Amino acid sequence: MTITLANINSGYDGFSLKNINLTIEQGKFTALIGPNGCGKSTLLKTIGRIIKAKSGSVKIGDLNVLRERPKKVAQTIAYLPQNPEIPSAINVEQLVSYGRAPYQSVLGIKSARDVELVDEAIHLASINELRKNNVAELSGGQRQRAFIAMALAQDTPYIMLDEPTTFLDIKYQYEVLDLIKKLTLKGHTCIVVLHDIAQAARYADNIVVMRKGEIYAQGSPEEIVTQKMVQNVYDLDCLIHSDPITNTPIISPKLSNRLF
Amino acid sequence: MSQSVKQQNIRPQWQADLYVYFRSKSFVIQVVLFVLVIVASVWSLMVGAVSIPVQVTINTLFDLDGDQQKYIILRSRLPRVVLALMTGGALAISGAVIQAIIRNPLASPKIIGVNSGAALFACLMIILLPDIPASYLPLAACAGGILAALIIFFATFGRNLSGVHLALVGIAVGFICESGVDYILVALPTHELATPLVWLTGSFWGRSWTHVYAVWLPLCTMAAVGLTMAYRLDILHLGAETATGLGLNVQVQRLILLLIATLLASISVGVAGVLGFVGLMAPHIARRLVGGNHRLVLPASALVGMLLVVLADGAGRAIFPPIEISAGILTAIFGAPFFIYIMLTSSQE
Repeated sequence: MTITLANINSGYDGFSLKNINLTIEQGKFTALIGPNGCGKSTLLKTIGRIIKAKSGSVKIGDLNVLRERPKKVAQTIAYLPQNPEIPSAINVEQLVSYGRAPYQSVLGIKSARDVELVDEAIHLASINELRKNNVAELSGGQRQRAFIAMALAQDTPYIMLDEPTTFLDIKYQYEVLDLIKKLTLKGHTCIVVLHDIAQAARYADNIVVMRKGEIYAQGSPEEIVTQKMVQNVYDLDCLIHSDPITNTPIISPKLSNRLF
Repeated sequence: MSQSVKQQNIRPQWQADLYVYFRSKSFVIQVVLFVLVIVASVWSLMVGAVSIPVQVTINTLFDLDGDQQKYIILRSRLPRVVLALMTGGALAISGAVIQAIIRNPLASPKIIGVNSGAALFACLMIILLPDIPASYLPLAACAGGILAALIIFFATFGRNLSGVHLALVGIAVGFICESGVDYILVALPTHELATPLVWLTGSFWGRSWTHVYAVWLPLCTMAAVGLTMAYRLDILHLGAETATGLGLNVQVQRLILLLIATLLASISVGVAGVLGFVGLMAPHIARRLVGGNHRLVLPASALVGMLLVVLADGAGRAIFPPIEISAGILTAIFGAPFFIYIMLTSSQE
């Protein structure tokens, strides 16, 4: 089912999303890009009801996200914040098992199905050898994969990740992106805030560009990543050429006059 | 083959998990702590102005044949020990809950203003209503603790504020109350009026079954509710955004848990005085022992808190009989070095 946003107004004090209308296709990797402060994180949080929209509606098929019970929403959408707080003295397996919370009672008693799905998530995220390691002691890349595994254990058709590659070494950035791509191939719908335009173009099926709290454009990487878009949205003069490996667009900024 | 799979699934998962738990290090630690609490309680019944041999103590407790010391043990010391156990456990659970919600290792019931609010109200009662008997002091203290905490909640609730904001507002309210206490202490017309303020140092002196009857039900109920919600604490500990993403109504859960923590701490402070350090120290010790899973941390904290306060109360009577040293002073004097040792030797954070 597609996610449909209609007339969404949302945001914190002093910042807002203005009248957002957007549809996000099922089973695709959708990247949200835009300059700092353009509202991409806010949009992601609004869809997942991490923050409450002031008006408008978010629908996934028949499910009215803004009015549904919190647990039901959590059984449909998994959300991973940009800087998840690191719990102290918790091992990877415990962390991943928290992903089952939306299905559990207040006591958090596990079912056989919970154990099965936690196992599956751990294998999919390739962190099996880290199971008993303390989350606080993992490297950045390992920790990010552990949190993604937690979102996977939530067993939701929709997974939203807010800048999952930020603060990671370049190798781990691509590992995480590969993992997300793998999830879309398995049928999950992934909505990912990304900072790097080339990475978005390489991995995403669909790119949503935001500017100043509004949707600037939406489409395939080739349609979206153009000299005009980069100029208008990022205020940067650049040339677009094609990635020698994947043929997706990458940008090369022109030299600034100020340097000379 | 399908049969073997079926057989594996016959035993429900929770039974399997319980079986794993019974064989874990954490379970052994909880059992050891429990035994230590029992031993410390019996020891605490034996010591004081009149020291009583262990055989006589046990005879009295279980009404066995032989020498008994009914009055001293059953009327004077047993209610104190019971109160020490309840308040120690309650303060420790309260501290563990607050540390999990505020996500700050420095947090304790003190940070939600309970201690200073209770102290201020106790002082106000002494100065404004000198004719009321001192036995109403716990009631005033309890009211003060709850009021201070409520001010902090309403100043921060519904504004999507972080634990840090809550802690800062709490510290500010604490300062206001403390300056009030200081002013009253300095301004008291006579020193005799200040005698009930020994209460401020946290003591079980003169506590009787009346006090136990007054507080056991609310304390046990709140502790039970707190323990039931331990898993929610695990989720809240992941931070507000992640917890919301996992289907938790973070504001409501935080409020419920903070109210439980406030009631536990206020009632304890009301009946036993300010035993401030227990709420900070016990959860830390517990977490070092059993890890970060709150379903283990809360019971372990409660046991550590009980142990600390019972030992402090017993030691307070044993060191210079017949003079008593307040349990609050002893928990700080003996607990703090141990606490520092644990913090220095731990690799985490």
